[in-house]
Amino acid sequence: MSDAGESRSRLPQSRLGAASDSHTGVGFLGGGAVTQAIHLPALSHLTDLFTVRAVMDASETTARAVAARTGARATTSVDDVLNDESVDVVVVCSPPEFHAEQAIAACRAQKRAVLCEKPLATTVEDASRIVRACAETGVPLLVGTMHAFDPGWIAFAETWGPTQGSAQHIRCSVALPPNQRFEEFATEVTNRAAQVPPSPAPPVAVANLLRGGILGLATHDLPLIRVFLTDPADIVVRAVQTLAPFGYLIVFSAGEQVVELHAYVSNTWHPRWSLEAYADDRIGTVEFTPSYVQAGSATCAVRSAERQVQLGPFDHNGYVEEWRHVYEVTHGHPLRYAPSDLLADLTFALDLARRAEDALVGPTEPDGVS
Amino acid sequence: MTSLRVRASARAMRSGAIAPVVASLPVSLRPEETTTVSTELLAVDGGVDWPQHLTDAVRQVKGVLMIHPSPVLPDEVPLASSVPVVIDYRFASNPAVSTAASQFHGWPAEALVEVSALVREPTDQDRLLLDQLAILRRLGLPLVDLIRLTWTSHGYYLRGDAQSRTPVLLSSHVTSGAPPQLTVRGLATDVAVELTVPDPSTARPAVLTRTSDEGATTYPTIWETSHRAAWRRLHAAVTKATPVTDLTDLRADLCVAVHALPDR
Repeated sequence: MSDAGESRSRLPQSRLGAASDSHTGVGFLGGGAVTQAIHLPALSHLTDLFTVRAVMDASETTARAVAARTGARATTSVDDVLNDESVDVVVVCSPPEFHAEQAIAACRAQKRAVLCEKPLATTVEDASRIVRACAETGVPLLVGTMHAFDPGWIAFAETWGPTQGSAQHIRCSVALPPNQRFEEFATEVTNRAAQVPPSPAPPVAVANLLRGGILGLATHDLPLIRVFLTDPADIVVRAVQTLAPFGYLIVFSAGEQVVELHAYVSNTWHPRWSLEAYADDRIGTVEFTPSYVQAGSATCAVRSAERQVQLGPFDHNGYVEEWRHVYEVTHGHPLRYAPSDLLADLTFALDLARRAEDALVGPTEPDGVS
Repeated sequence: MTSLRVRASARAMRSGAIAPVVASLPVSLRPEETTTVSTELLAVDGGVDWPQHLTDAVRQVKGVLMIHPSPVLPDEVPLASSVPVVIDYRFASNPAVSTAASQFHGWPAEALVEVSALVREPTDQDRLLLDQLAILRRLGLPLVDLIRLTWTSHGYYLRGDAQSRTPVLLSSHVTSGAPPQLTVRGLATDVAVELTVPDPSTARPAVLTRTSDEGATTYPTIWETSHRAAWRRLHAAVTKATPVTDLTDLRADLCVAVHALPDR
């Protein structure tokens, strides 16, 4: 990912408020909670730009129920969406193992853009195939890392300046109630996937929980963390453990820099999702709103000796900005994050997940260092 | 109330901000310019040579305040003191810590505790680690083991286990971006507790918040520095014989810290 500071939304505000005679058609592959509680509420802010044409889900009941909310067509067929000429943008919201095939098929169908939920794929090879398909077909690809599009983060990056190598310690702390609570603030979810309560499990299952935590939760912020790192390929996991009932604690170094990630899902009402960067002469803090709720952007602060710059909140969250950017790229604007950045983001996340798993199921505690 | 005569070395006067503290306790304490037989309380700076200074001090006075100690070998801590010795930690002596301790009582193993701090100079980090261990002990979460993960001139990360088996992450961030402060944050299934302790260079109050599914409670502010609270505790130990275990506790913390500190 490039430094986010260069890229404020390029779409004039007045354009968003004005009626458009060229609505961009949207087709969803997957109609689960993310489609229902994230994308449809975000699109409801942009009805002058987008029209949902089709909703595909493996469950016909879900497809029908979700499509009915926007007057779209329901289907259980991926091809049905891809062959629909009224669908300009394909949104891949299926389980991650389907992302590669569906995103590539959407490129081959010559759609105007593909928005793929995170993670882009489950392997670097699959992600590379997607990126190649985009290059070959010229179809723009976006990944739904909403924090990377959050106006609070973008304002932070502009104020902070060049990120690479600029902070010695980067800390991401996530303390949240279970997702369900926030989904219900955003919508009424149809056919919610059953929640499997985590339980004490053998090492491999614990490692899978950790991987799920990294690729499902930490993945929101890993692209933001990566832009601070001088050598993101040089990961050494210093500490890792899973936390009950669900969470993780990971400390890793990348060259001389150190990253702390922790997440804890609890029943307390107060969510807190923060990213902090510590430099010799300043401290940066970005406080994100929880996923799902339409609570506007992150707020951020850059503190230096006896001075603090506060930015935000802005009206829209990262999801709405993500969709505004989809509109921009379907109308000829360049991508904010190049495919090579998206591939590097996924490579970083998968590399961290692999190394953290190895550290967890190998020696119980990694050795300390001097 | 008994008024006790106080003296300190020049170094201790600076590190413990003793003049304003004594001035803020004019009934309990009186400053003395020179050491005399009538000196009752002596302040010792916690520089690396503090064990010798402490050993000398306890022979002369009724009570000793030791300011922000540096790490030494556990066996170097003099335990058999004939007079009370109170340690003035930069953060752990803050009066809000005792209120916070009640919130951490019975803290579950299935939880996370983090203790992070901002400091100005890399050389502050050795003492900071003892401060962090002391605050955990005073919160009822003494560590039983500690592993150094990283330690550089920019900060450190250490991973420990509390006696309750709760995982604890300790960190230090060396920066001039904000005044020094220490934050303890506990995350458990049904409750979160956060205590932010400011640097004692001002009497800016600590902030203690407890959050559960029913809401959040912020506890009353106490406009008192760690230094002043430590002097009050020493005064009470001398005049009312309230028990202090600071040196014993420090020795126990040093036993945990000694293998986690970088080689010098």
